Amino acid sequence: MIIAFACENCAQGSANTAGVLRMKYDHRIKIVRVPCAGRVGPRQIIEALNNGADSVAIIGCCFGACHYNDGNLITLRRVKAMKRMFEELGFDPDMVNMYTARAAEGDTIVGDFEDMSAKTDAMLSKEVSNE
Amino acid sequence: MSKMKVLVRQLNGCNRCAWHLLALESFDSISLIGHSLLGNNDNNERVDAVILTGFATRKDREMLEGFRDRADLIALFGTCPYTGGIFGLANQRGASVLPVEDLIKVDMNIAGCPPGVGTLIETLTKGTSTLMSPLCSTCNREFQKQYLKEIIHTPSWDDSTTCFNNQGLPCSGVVSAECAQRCIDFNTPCRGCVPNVNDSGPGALGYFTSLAGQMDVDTKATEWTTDMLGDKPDEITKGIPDVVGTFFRYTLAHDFKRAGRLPTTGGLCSDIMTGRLIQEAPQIAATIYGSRGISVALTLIEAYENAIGVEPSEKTREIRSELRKIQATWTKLERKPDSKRFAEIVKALKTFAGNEVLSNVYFSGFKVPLKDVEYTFDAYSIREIDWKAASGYAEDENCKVSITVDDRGIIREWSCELR
Ligand code: SF4
Ligand code: SF4
Ligand code: SF4
Repeated sequence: MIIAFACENCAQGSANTAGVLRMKYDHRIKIVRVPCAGRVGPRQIIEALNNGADSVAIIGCCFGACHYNDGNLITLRRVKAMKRMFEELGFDPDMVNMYTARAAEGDTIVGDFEDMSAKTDAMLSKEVSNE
Repeated sequence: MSKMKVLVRQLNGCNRCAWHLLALESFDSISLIGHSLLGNNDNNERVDAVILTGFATRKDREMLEGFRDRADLIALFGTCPYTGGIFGLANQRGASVLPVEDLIKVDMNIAGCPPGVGTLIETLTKGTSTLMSPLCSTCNREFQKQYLKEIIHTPSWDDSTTCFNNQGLPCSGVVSAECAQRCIDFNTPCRGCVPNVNDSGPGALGYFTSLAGQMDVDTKATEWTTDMLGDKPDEITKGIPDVVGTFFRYTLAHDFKRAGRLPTTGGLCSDIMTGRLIQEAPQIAATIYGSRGISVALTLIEAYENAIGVEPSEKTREIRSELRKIQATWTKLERKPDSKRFAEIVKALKTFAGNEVLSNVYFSGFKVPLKDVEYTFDAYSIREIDWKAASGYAEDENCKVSITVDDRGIIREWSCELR
């Protein structure tokens, strides 16, 4: 399971556009709608992982286009520190990722979804080969 | 009123909390049925309360269930049984340190590393945990609302009024409650041994990285022309080289439920010391090595000083030798543990080291003026330190320490042989 926190502005908008265009994405991705990417931090990311998520992604508006000014930019630092944390624990830094999307373009979020699926698959297959 | 029948049991790891609980002997309201440090005189009778100290692992389940069955009340004394404490850091390398609450139902938690026995007595008498004030509300430092300019690993030594977080040095005071050791009074940021919220580690990390919201972070464009977070080193990864040891110092086993996958170094304490920032190492060693902590912390300091060519002043050496005398007294006392004499040791430690986890003790000198010593602070204060990659060795009558530190200040190799 991949938990994707999608901001209710560009990310959710882009997902809606993708839906209207009947674009497909990986069924393992579960979208959690949040007011802003800036609402998501280590608490939510760790809670998702503690409850069985394989990886977590956060999708916000493009840089400079955040509806709350700079929520997406603040979360970038949190996610970067969490990537370090996972490496320090011997996990793949791709256990958490951060993306942006554009509401009018459905393929931006579908592209994010493809990237997170590919990264999660790579991470999981590495884990299997390590066992 | 009949006396409360109490059994004290030390699980694993450091036994400093157990030493503190020797004091229960002198309370009229308590009848101490057994205590791990006083030999095993436990005949499995029913008791009113079992007080647990030290950390638990999955292997302790059966024993803990046994305690649960024979006691009306289970109280945890110290952060170790509560969240896994500092030993939870070993989970980074695959250990299975667990909060006792993950194994049996618990009635009371008295957090602190170590906490005060007074808090335990108060909680036992009242029957419920006391509400504690947030640590920040008791701190002399002030927070100015602004983003960080840089992330640092030592405080500015002559600033005693600016919040550490403002200076760019992470401080977990924001997620902690008032405590017995008060590192913050000794120019040492809080690492959160008295968590005030359920997920204090992620909370503190989120808080600090929000403050760092303007530091340079690597980003890149995707193939479909939106932006995403990049994976090159940047100010965040350089600024926080030990995320786990900084923000999850006392709560990793509680906050993150997967066993870490780094290979073990072969020992519990070396698993904890390896990966830590050298600047934070003395307090960590002083804590995890328990009743040998004074010796190990001082020897580690000397090993790194030898490696980088720092000469501590004569007064600094003198105070360190006072501390080693305290260590010797404690070591001797191990043969016949005694609460009054232990109280004297704690008092002496507060005089020469600030608190029991040696918050005032540092490389090259001391962080703040000691109370009750006659020399001027200049004679034993910290000198300029050039933090760099180095390997060093030192020994004293209790231990031999060798240490290798990399260019980011991270301990890469640690060995400590206790004699
Ligand atoms: S490490 Fe801290 S909490 Fe754990 S037993 Fe020692 S003093 Fe107590
Ligand atoms: S965060 Fe730390 S330094 Fe800042 S006010 Fe709180 S306890 Fe004091
Ligand atoms: S200041 Fe020190 S003793 Fe107090 S809560 Fe923080 S880490 Fe614990």
